[in-house]
Formats: sequence, structure tokens, C-alpha cells
Amino acid sequence: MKFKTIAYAKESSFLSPEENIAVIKLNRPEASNTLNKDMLLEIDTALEEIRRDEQVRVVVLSAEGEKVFCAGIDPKEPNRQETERLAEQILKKIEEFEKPIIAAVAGEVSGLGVGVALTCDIRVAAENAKFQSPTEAARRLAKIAGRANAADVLFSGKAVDAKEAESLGLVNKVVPPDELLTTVNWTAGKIATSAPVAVRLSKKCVNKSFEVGIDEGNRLELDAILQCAKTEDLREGIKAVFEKRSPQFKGK
Amino acid sequence: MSYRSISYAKEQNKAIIKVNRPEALNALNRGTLSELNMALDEVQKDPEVKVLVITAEGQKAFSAGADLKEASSLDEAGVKELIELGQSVYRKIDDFPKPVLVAINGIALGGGVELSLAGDIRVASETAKLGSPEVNIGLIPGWGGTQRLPKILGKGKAAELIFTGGIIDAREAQRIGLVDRVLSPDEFASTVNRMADAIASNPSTNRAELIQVIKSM
Repeated sequence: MKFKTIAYAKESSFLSPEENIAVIKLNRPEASNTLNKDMLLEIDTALEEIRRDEQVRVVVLSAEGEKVFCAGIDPKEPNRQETERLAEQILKKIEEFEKPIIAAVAGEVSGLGVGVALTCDIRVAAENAKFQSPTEAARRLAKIAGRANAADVLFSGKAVDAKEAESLGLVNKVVPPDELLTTVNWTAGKIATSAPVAVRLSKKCVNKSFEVGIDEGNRLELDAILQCAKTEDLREGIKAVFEKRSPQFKGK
Repeated sequence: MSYRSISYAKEQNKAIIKVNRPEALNALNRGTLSELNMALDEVQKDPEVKVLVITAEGQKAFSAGADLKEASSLDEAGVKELIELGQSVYRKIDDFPKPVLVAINGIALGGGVELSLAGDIRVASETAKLGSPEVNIGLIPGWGGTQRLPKILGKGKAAELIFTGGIIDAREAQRIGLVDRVLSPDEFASTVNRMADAIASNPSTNRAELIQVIKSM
């Protein structure tokens, strides 16, 4: 597949020679990696390809260049509202995507770029990452960082540097810029060697956890466990424990 | 009441429930969960008890989680029953009308971590290792982990812990908010004891209301 505004590649990790990690890179560094219609549609296309590709089990979302991760919607977009609507659709897709998505964040993040980062399941940031006040992603921020931390960031309107983002819980981890991609690859590799059906179902349950009460949440977990119980992967996983070896999951 | 897979003791106004299968890394089978359930009822009814401490026997493990040997022998109805049993016991801890302090004395994995999540306060020994490795055997956390972890850690950190199945040490657990305090092994028992005493002796007049507020969060 040929892309112009993003780059798409598949990677392996130290845990497996299989190319089971998909990497989408925002690739308009000359325009601060801003989102325009073309880029959003290409992200959509890449996600559809990833959905169909059974080898891929996890996605990394990163950006070209070290200065800016994403500066939101391109101010040059002729129809801003239309682009915003499209962006919201893509964010929803990222949130509900059945394979986990990890954001590898370096540099400035602003406008809807913050929304993109916060919508991913996991965030790893380089020390030079800086988040402008994420007013466009208030709800998501509260789920990630907790209500008090979200209020602190949103009401003060301040930008949050990497170190503070880590202490507020806005990002999972902060690492030196030259370690960003290896750290993300390691985390992605761990997910990629886990049982795919279980990962997919656990993401669904985690996503629902803020919307449902514990009883409904418990029912979702029970359904998910019963689905897992029907997989070959569970039998393989338990066998591997008793045989003291690493499991080989097929996603079935 | 006498128990086999757990132990129950009362010291003044503290109740201490210990998972007591150290030879099986305190793995939680149906019998253990049922006894835990009974002990909770006993503690709940006892008006003298002002605080409950949940911990485990031995130095090595708090709990390695569900008993895989038992669980892997179950049919679908048995799995459903086991999941619902664990969920309801943890739900009881969640709603418990007295403060619950969980003292993680060693390894806490899967259902062991989920047990701790149902409590109000978690302290861990420096030697503890924690994780939710279910996805590494083809399962998900089924005793409330996918619901309680996001609320305690935030969504991103819960996602990482659950999707990677990674096992972390006590310091990292504290960094991500999975435990509230880390204690050195030699001061572990005494500090847990002191913390429980402090909770039990808090003279707040609106204690029941406070507990209600915290539990409903």
C-alpha cells in the first residue's frame, strides 16, 4: 500500500521474529504533522488493512520528526468542520479498534493532536514531549489521569511537559528521546505475543469500565471468559504453564 | 468457625483474614473463596471489629491467583460458577461496611491482584511482585480486574498492565498507583498492624457515613 501523508510499516520485536506490530507514522513534518482530510483517510485505510491482517496484533502510532507529534487540524483545511467530524470518527475508531494502539509521543502535541494521543490505549512519551492543555479531550483525560488531575490541567489551561505528564498519569512512561521507539517496541512486543482473543476482549471490558457499574462490568468479564474458554489459545496457554515454556498463540 | 484454606484471627478490634495455602502459593480455589466468603460474613456481623486486614500466610506469596489446576479441569458450567463465585466474594469486599486494608506480603498475580483491588488500601512488601498475566495464558482478568484497574490506575496504565500481562515489582506498582505504600519486609507486619490500629481507633463520629462515601466512589 502506498501512502503520502503517513508511513506504514510492519515490525518484529525481540520477543518474536514475526512482523506482528504495525507502525503508523504521521508523515507531514513540514506541516507540523497536522491532520488534514487526506491524512485522516489514510489512517482509516491503514487501520482497515491492519484489521484484516491476522499477523498484526498491536499498533504503534508515532510521528515523523522529533519536534512535533501532531499540532491538531491543519489550519489550511478548506472545510474545517468537515475535517473535524472526520477526525472524531477516526478517534472513535482508534478507541474501539480491536487491536491495542500505543502512541509513541515526541515533541509538541496540541489541539486535536492531544486528542489523538489520549485516545490511544497506552502512551509512551519522550522527555521532550509537551502537551498543550487538552480541552478537546477532557473526557478522555479524566479517564486516563483521574478527575482531580484532569481538573488541574484543564482549569489552569497550562501546557504539560513530559515529566509532569508522567506524574499526573497522562502518559504511562517517559523515556529519553533515543529510547522511545525501543521502549514502545518492547511494550508492543509483549502485547503481540499475548493471546489475541483475550487482548481484544480485555480491551472491550476496560473501555466499558467507565460507562457501566461493577455488576454489568462483571457480566462483561464473565462473557469474555466464556469466549476465551472456547479458544485453542487457552488450552495452549495452560499447557505452556505446566510445561514451563512460552506459549505460541494463534488467535483462535 | 474453623477454616482450612484461610485463617481468621481477631486482635482487639482488628480482624485479620489470611489466605492459608502457602504450599500452593496461596492460589484461590473454590474452597478458599467460599471460606473467604464465610469469614467476611463473620467479620461483618461482629460489632467489635472496626477494620479488616486481608493478607496471606508465608513470605513468598500473597496469592498467585486462581488455582489453574482446578480451573483447567472445569467444564463451561464450572467455569461460570467459579467466575461468579470470585466476583461475588470480591463484590462483598468492595461493599464491605468496614475499612479493608490489603497487605500484599509477596507475589500477587491475576486473581490475587484482583482480590487486592477490591479492598480500600493496598500496601505491599518490597519483595512483592504484581501483575495481571491472564492474557499470557489466553484469559482476561475475570474477577473485576478489567473494571477496577482502570479506576484505580487510570485507563492507560490499566491497559498496559492487562494487555502486556507484564509482572512488575512493588516500586513500579507504587509508581503506577497499584499499591499505596511499599514497606520493607522487616517492618511489614508491624507497619500493617499500626496502620490497622490507626484506622480502628479513629474516633470520627460519622464513621459509617465516611465509609459509605468512600465505598461508593
